[in-house]
Amino acid sequence: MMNKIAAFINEDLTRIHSSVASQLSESYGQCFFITGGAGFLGTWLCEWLMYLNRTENAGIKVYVLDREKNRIQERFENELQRGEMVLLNYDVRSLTEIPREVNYIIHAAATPDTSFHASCPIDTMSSVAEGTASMLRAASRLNNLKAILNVSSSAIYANSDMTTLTEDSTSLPFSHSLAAVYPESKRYAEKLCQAARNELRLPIVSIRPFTFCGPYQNLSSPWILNTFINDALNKRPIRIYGDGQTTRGVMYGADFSVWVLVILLHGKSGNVYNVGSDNPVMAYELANYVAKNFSFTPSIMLNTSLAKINDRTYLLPDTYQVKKDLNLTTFTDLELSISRTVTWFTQIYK
Amino acid sequence: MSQDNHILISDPTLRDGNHAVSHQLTAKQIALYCSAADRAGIPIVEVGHGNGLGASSLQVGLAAIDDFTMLTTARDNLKSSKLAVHVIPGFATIEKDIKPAIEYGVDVFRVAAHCTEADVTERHIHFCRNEGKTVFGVLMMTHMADRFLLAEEATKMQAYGAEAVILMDSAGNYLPSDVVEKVSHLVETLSIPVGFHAHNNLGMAIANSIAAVECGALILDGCARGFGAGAGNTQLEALIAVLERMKYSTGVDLYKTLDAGNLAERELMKVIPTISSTSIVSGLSGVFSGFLKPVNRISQEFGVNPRDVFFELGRRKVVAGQEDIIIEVAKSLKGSKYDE
Repeated sequence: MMNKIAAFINEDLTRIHSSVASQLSESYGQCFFITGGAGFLGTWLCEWLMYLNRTENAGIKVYVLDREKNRIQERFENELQRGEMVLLNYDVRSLTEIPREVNYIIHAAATPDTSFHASCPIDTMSSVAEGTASMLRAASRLNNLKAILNVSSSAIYANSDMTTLTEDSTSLPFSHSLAAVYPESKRYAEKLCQAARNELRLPIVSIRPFTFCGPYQNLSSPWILNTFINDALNKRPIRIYGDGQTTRGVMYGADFSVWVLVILLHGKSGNVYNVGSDNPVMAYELANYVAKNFSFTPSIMLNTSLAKINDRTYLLPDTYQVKKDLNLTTFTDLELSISRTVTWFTQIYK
Repeated sequence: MSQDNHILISDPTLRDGNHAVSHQLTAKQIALYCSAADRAGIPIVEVGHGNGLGASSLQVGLAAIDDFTMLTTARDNLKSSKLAVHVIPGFATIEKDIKPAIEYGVDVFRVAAHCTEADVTERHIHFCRNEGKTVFGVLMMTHMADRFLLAEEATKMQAYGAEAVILMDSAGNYLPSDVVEKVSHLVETLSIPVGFHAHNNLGMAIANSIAAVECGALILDGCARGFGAGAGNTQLEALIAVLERMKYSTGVDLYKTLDAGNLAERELMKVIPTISSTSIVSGLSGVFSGFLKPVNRISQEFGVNPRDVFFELGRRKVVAGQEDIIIEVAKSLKGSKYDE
């Protein structure tokens, strides 16, 4: 019998599967290697691939590489026992060999946590730069490799002024700020992938993820929606740092991960795709969506820094390219995304 | 970034001023001043031992009353003003000090570190933010680091979740040109508000505070009659008056702030802070203003000139918490110079 977590995730995947079934059939009988496989994206990818095994008898095998192992061991105990999944518990920088049977690689190892970037800039940069180099060297020795997907970041874009960002938008100018260690390393990793595609003839696509929500996110991460949910869970007013007009597009984890799979299976080598929701939502609206999903109605506090500021940021992807090339669409609208996320944290994963 | 030339005023009279009376402020004094500050509409009132939460100790001075009494007394007398504490990780721990402070009703946590050591604030900032509190990062002794290093350390605090970063001129060493150089760079680098906390060792506190807002700082600290460590801080009443004249809004009632200043002079301080000769030396040598009393006392005990002690402490780049070095310095000066 499925436990509560599995049943909840299963609902999401079943709801979406029929819309993408034909695009996922390429994955049947294939072997995947996921670096950072215990993170938010990695865990969702494992959910999708194991779902296909359960419902479609897809015969997929997944190698998960991550320094963290508890989540994968707890959630996929049966799959690990059956050998459908294999957990490799070490740092991606130590990767020297990828199992020969691997056909597809998703390189997602990195922490997007800005606190970690600030305290450990060397580790941040080296795990992205050296980790990507290690992965590419090992991948170049595979005989049956069909595609690599490199997870880059929307942080490589320069701040936009109320415009959506296309894949050709201006990237971050060179900066002396230490805050740039993560985007600089991600930009380097993208370029390294481009070089490997040329020199080693590796089939590689890169994606630039934006803003996400849903199961498997860590509520203590400083993302806008997480902090709102965390406030409401603790029965406190929802605190908005500025005037509430900071704008994002929020995509649900099940959508994000299935987009990644479709891009991996069908994306054109050499391409870079934005991944995220292009539906703009302001922080104040997000807070209201969160509030109405709680049995009590948390109040919403603006300008929590107490200094009156109007420092708004606008981070929204233009997803024309990925939608045109791969016929992808949003499967979970904003309201449902937030409602599912709140349900996860209040009822499923307490 | 400011919407309407608004400057947020934070008043550490009952925290920095505690340095000036060797941390001997009483519950009655705290109650009286909090009521006055609250009436004046001062947005943030900071209360505690001079070195902040959990700092009462033999090394830096025992407070007359404990944190619980200080904070609950303040809370009872602040209706509109937010109650703030100064938090230096190490003195203050999450379990022993911060959790109780949240229970006592503290609204704003100003988590401070020496200007090159912001890493130590990560857990404290995270914790306070996750508890739904307003959190400012505070960089102390900022004359000891250049603008680039300050920006890197402030960026860390921002990444940890600080909602503003305050630069402290703890030694009263800045000139307005220093303020402009450093505050401008931080305003340009950070996406959160920048604040400034001045000391008056060189008579520059008001000028430096105004220099800070003129280049984009949105938060200023000021103490009634300048009641604070060493030569004192920016005098709050004068600061409000100057800001009014310059058409900045603060939401603070000038007349009632003047009343609070009168009350502070009458009820809190034995001596109004002045720029003593030793304070000038403290500012010039770049030594934390809170060293003034122990340096004077120890210099007298060893029969050495406190000015020499300050310059030697400055040469050694001592910071708050290293007060035990004063004895070592006085002793070595006595041996090397005064015995000759």
